[in-house]
Amino acid sequence: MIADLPPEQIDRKSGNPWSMFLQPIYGLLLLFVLIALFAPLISTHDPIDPNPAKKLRPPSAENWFGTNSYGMDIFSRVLYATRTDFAVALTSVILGVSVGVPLGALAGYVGGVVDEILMRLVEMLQSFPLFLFAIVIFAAVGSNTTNLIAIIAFVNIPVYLKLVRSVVVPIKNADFVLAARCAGNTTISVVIYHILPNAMGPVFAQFSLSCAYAIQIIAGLSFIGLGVEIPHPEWGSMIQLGAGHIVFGKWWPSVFPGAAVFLAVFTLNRVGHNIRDNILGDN
Amino acid sequence: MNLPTDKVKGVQDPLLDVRALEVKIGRGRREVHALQGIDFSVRSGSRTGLVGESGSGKSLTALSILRALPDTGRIVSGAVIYDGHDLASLSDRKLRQLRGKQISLVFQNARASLNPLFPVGQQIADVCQAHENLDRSLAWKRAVEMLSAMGIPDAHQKARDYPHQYSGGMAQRAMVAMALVCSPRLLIADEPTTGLDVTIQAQVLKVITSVVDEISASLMLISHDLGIISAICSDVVVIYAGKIMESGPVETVMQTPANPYTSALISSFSVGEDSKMSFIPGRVPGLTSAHDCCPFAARCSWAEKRCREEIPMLREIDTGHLVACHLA
Repeated sequence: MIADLPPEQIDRKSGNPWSMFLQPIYGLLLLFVLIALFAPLISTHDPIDPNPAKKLRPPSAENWFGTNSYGMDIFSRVLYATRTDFAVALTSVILGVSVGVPLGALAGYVGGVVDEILMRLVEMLQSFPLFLFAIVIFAAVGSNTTNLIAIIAFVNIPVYLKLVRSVVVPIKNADFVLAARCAGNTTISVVIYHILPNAMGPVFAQFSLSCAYAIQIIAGLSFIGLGVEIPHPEWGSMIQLGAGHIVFGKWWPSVFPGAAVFLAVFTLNRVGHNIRDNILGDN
Repeated sequence: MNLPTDKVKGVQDPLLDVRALEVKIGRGRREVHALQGIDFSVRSGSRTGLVGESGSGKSLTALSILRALPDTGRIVSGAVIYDGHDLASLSDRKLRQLRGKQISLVFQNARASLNPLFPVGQQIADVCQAHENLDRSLAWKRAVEMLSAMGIPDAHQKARDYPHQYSGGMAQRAMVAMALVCSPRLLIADEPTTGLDVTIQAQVLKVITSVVDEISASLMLISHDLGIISAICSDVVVIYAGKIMESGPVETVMQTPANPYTSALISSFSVGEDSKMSFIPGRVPGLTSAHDCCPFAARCSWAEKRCREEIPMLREIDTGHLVACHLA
């Protein structure tokens, strides 16, 4: 526990605590964020404007990444899709965190029957294959972006519930928590000020990893035609749209969005591991 | 004895009266009868020392007083009377208002007792605000004043520092500052100097006693060090295997111990004239079941048949001097 470490071990990366962000991977993350924010300014065409005269054109000076089978500009669509995928991933993970973290704190702090019930529920949820679960839900309530966000948020709840619970249990018995209780703090303030802040490190590390996973789910579901509605630019559905043309040598409609998914997932995973190493120590 | 006499009625009425307290930890086969009838009282204005070997139940006694036992622990019977209320059965709300305001606790490992994520001054101010209707800046001022009263140099600056920037001795002072910021009537210090080196120990103890006197609080000092207790305390309570063996004014108990365990403890503490250290053979008995005889009988060199058959009751052999021994 941090509290037991001698000062020199905590200060080993002395100086500016923000220096951990001075790594190339965070530059890549910043690039994605900037693209998502400023997609309308950078893009060269309207991403959903079909042009029957220019179907499946290879990359050129006018259409940098070529065009798809409807004659839409793939470069612009990849940029806009960054916006879609990051927004859906971020929203759903934040939702999952905001439900999972309090429930995890509850399970860990209260323990007993509450803990048992929550953990059995979590195990039930997690034993269900994700894609099957998503397909069933989409079949029942319809396939659209809102439901996609809800599903990804839902599958993230157990992840954070278990994570926070596992961190809260040892912190609950830490001396400073006992001291806080003996100083007359209410249970709520002990949990909010003393336990949760000390349990958030792993949550931050997991957050980025969850976003990477969410993008994989979004792209995967869109690839089979679920989730984000069709003309709307999204990496998975773009790959799917181009997939039939690869055998005819027309690789560009699938390869560019595919590379984008790869890069985005790689970046978010690296960032997650980096945060984890920095917050939780190198071992 | 030069006790403060400002609380006239307090001298007769104990501030804290622990009666036949029994605490068990764990359930089923792992159940431990950790405290098996603890009786003692702390007079207001006094400094009471609680002394015993490791595992004898000293810390657990302190935690039971504030009902802050670990999840598996529970008070089975007995009462903790403070100010006319039984803390063992007080409502959670009332008890919470009392913790830190009337009775404060200081723990052994000070550095671990501070939340690593917040500045120390803020943590002290928070305790202040939890009990008194103070605004933030006033609470902060109180925290800084308290830190400097505890002898922390440059308290203004130091209050903004985080626990990892504090040394062990400073962290312990900060903990004492936190415990005393609401001017409680009783401070329970659980081995407050155990983790510190000897020179710092004396300083911290001195600061604790002087501030306790200043706010005319009572002190209950838990220690395994008879030297510290005889130097600081007016009364002493000797605990062994979850039972009180002897209690009384510190001079009486130290000079004329009536329980063989107390004498053994005293002689193992001091180095004899032949510069040999004596020790008590054997070890503290396990507490998986209730005692059916004197808990010290197995290690006692004076033990008789009766000692192995009957539990000695705590009885008064002189004014204020209580002993649980068949032979006394």
